[in-house]
Amino acid sequence: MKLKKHLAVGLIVTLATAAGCSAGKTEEKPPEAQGGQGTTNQGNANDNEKYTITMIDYRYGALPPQDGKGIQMINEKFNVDFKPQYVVRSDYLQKLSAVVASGEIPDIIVMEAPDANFYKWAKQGAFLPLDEFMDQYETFKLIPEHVRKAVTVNGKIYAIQKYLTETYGLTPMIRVDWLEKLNLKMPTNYDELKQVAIAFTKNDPDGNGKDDTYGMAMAENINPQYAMGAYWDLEAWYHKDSEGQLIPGFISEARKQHIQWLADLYKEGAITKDFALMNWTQVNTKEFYAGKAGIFIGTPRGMNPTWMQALVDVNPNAKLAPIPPFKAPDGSQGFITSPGYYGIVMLSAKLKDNPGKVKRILEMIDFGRKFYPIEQRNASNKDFDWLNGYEGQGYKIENGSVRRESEEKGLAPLNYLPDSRMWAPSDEANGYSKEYTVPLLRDVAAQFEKMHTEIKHYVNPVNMVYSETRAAKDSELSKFLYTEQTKMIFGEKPVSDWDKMVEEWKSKGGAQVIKEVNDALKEIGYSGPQWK
Amino acid sequence: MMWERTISSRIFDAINIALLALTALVMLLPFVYVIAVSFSSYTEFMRSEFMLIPKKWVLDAYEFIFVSDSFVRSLIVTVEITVLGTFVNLAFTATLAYVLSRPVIGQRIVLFLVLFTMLFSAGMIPTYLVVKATGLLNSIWAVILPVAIAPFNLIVMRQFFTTIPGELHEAAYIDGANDWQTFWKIVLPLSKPALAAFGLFYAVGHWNNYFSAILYLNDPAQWPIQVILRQIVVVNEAQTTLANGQILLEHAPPAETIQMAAIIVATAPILVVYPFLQKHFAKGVMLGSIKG
Amino acid sequence: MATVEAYPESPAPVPAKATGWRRLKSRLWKDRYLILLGLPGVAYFLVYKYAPMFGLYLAFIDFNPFQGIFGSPWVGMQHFARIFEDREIILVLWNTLVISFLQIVFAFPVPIIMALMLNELRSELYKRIVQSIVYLPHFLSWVVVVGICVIFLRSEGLINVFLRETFGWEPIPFLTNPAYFKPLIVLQVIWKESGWGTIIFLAALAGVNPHLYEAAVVDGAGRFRRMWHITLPAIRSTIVILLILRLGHVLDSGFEHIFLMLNPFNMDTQNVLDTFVYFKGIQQSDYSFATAVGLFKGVVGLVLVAAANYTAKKFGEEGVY
Repeated sequence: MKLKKHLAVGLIVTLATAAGCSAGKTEEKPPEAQGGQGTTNQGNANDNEKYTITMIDYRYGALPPQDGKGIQMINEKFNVDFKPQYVVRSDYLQKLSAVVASGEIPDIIVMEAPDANFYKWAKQGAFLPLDEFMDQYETFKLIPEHVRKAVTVNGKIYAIQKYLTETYGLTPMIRVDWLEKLNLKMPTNYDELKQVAIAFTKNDPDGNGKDDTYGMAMAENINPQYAMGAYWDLEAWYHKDSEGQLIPGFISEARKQHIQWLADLYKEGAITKDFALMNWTQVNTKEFYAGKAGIFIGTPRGMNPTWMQALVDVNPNAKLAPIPPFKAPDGSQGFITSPGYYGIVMLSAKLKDNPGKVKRILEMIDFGRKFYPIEQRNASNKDFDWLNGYEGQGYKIENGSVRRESEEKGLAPLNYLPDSRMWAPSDEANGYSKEYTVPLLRDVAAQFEKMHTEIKHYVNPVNMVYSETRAAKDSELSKFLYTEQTKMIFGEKPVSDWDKMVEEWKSKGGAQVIKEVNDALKEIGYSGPQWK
Repeated sequence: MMWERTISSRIFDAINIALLALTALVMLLPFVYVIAVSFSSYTEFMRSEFMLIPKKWVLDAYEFIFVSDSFVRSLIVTVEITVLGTFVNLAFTATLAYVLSRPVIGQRIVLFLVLFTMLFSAGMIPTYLVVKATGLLNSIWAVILPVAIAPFNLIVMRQFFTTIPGELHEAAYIDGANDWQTFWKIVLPLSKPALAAFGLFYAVGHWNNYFSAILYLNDPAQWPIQVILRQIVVVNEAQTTLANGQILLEHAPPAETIQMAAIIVATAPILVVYPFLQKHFAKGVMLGSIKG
Repeated sequence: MATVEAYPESPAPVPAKATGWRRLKSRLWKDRYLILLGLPGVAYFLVYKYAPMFGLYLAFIDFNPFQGIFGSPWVGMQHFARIFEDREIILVLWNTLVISFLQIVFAFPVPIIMALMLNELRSELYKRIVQSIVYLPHFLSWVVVVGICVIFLRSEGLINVFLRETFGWEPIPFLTNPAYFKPLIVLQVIWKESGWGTIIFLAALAGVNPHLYEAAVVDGAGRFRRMWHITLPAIRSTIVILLILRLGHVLDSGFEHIFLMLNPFNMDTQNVLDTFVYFKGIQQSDYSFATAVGLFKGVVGLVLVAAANYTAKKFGEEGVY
């Protein structure tokens, strides 16, 4: 009896002490995160050290102030002294070069894409390899294997890639109200599209009695290219040459026919007359959204609401819809994928002796990438609320969508974190179309989203590998091809000069690019065309 | 004879005035276009090819610019930089230019070395390293000292100084003045046109500068106006070229109207200052300086 | 003044070197105020212009910011070779020189003429107004200027539409026919920079003694005569200096301007050095190559400037040095 009592007491005391000890430990450690509905998570840091973290990053446009509220919030939450530096994108590379050349590499470096500098510096050991961390953080795990290849150098991963939808590229869009006026159907192949474009040019589809419309809007560098599928896409490495090597669509036979098709249309006046002289903005504002052209491009995210509103003002009955991809001669049907990421975040190799700091930085990055389903993008989700600077201060909810304060007020951590783009589990989960307020825009964006869920997308293999020659010469080679192909469309050069053009492209370095890309693909064990 | 001269003289004047008027018109029109676009609504801008007078005057583009706090602050910063910078410029340039206009020892060599820097420059990165080594990073001096003298201005200003008649120097020497006093009391007052011209060049240079500010100054609070304006213009460009991955900017007027407003805002202050300098370009500065 | 005597009243003979040193010292002493006055300027050049010149070393290495200037690998003349590896470089250099030459012949004199015209105006108010207007184009960026040109000159542009509707003409390919390229460039430069360029000449003219004009009138000289014999000589040395300096930049051609005017139709034949270098796929941070090109340009400029300076002096002008 007494023994049992003693045992019982002993057991209880042991248990209590054990609980007390672990409770004590937990008191040192902040409470763990509770799934998606966030309680404020202060990370899994075992240490209380306040790290000073420097960063260099670029912005298109307004830069957040150095003393913004967002930084204070970050400092509090992560227990750091965060010192970011922002540079306008157009001057970023120069500033980055100067800063690095002077020997001061910031802890965190953000770049738009892995360019030649990224590869050189990675090889020279400027960045910290991140392989071991990829599985430790929820949002890093979500990056697909084939996407990670783009930032893998000598077998090691050197950057965390920022989210980009895989399937939401820029694809053709058409004025449905014009189709209806002329009793035409949505085109399903290039012949039909040609007829529609010519009809738009000659048959007064807006019914105003004036000869002021035409088919397809186009800007310099044959942009949009109006490829109705990966088969014709100049960027897609889809076709093979006579030696079985993958080649860029830019020089393929399919492209040759496409250029001929564009040349025919140009002769009919169905393409923007001075397209070779117009930049992207001009073609958008003065041609398509001014109601002169009937065919252009669109995408779920990133269309300009001001322009769309202008179109509505000029043509209140405008109706838009995406043109679904055409079936190719080889039976394939679908557009190409994007690289699957946009923007990369690197850590300085100097941090390798400071694992605590590395951990803290990765937590900051991971936190910014958290995904919030549409219903949780408001104050009910504490993390979302924090990230956006608290409702009423950093953002407000208008008609169910989030309206953020301008970046230059710096009221939200989102303005400052190295990566504040949430990594969505699927493209549609983003719900981009719902963020627009202009009804026409909302509608067509939703149509695009729907279309992308219903079609296939070709995974472009060139995004998985790095070719030195390509990085060095791509702009020169592309410029050459654009120039020649523009002349062909204008009729100044016959399309029969195609082979000569390809030969010259090859001798300028194109052959080397083909070789390097194919060799690299073999190395990573590329198995063949993938469609998503 | 007098009569003939008067007629031919008058014809000369008439043609002169007419030609200049024509020239002024040709140079003015595009500027009127810029002003017109800056005050136009985006719909009108999108629909018109070329306009000189907007149908509807709107202040959207200007509002967009002036609303940002950083803009007003940058305006103050720019004035500081311009005033301080131009003063430093003239001090360094005028002194050395004067020295090199006199038969001083080493004159030719130094002139050649100055010319040499006009033709050869090591570029951004080495200069950055030197600026860093001299401890100027993140201070206003980083955008002032490294450009204290523009070799072109130095060489031409020096040439202006050489046109000052030798008799003046001799007269001063006889009166017991040393070089410093001659410079300060005689040469400088006679060089007002040159100082006005080069002061204007330097001032405009500071006013329009953005790159060295981006390079040497990390704190946006220290940035001059052109940097802020560049941000404004770039953000609109980005919207158009990068459909993916960018945060939507709702309610922003299209790039062109803002760009034009930015140009007007950046240019207007100079237009205001210029008339005050013009009087120095009037004739007869040397009048009365040489006796007899 | 003292007369020279045959036998020494002068000090004992001194070795030649010491005399030279003495002369130097006395010269330095005589010029002491000037030396002090010029010190800040010279110091500036030493620190911020000459010290960075160690960076010209960049032209001979494969610069990588991470490895720093002295850690990057040596490549010798590789970058210079790269400039000349395409046969296109000959055409490119030719275009650059032709445009520079055209600018010197046609654009350089315009601010002078304009300044002279402004100088002849009797109404100070009119003069000031016109002055203020003609320097406005200088403040417009090339993006805006070329943009306006495109609006007017493209095949569906204002001018061609007008010609078509009034005379039934076919559109004139101002922008796509390579033959129009160089003249257009020069005209644009004249339009944009002439007004601003008058400032220097007006400053120079402000120093001309008005008495000289009065004397000339009394002597019976008409307007042109007075301009030719008084006004022009007054600014002649300024003109010469500016011309010599201009030659130093003969291989520069306004990158942004030309870049904006190039299109697929004139690209093949109208490329200039700066755009050629740019299109060679230069990453923005290929500083080594950029430095090499800069060196090349500098050497050419130096040769021309030295030659021009020498020639000017031969003609009795003051050169730059």
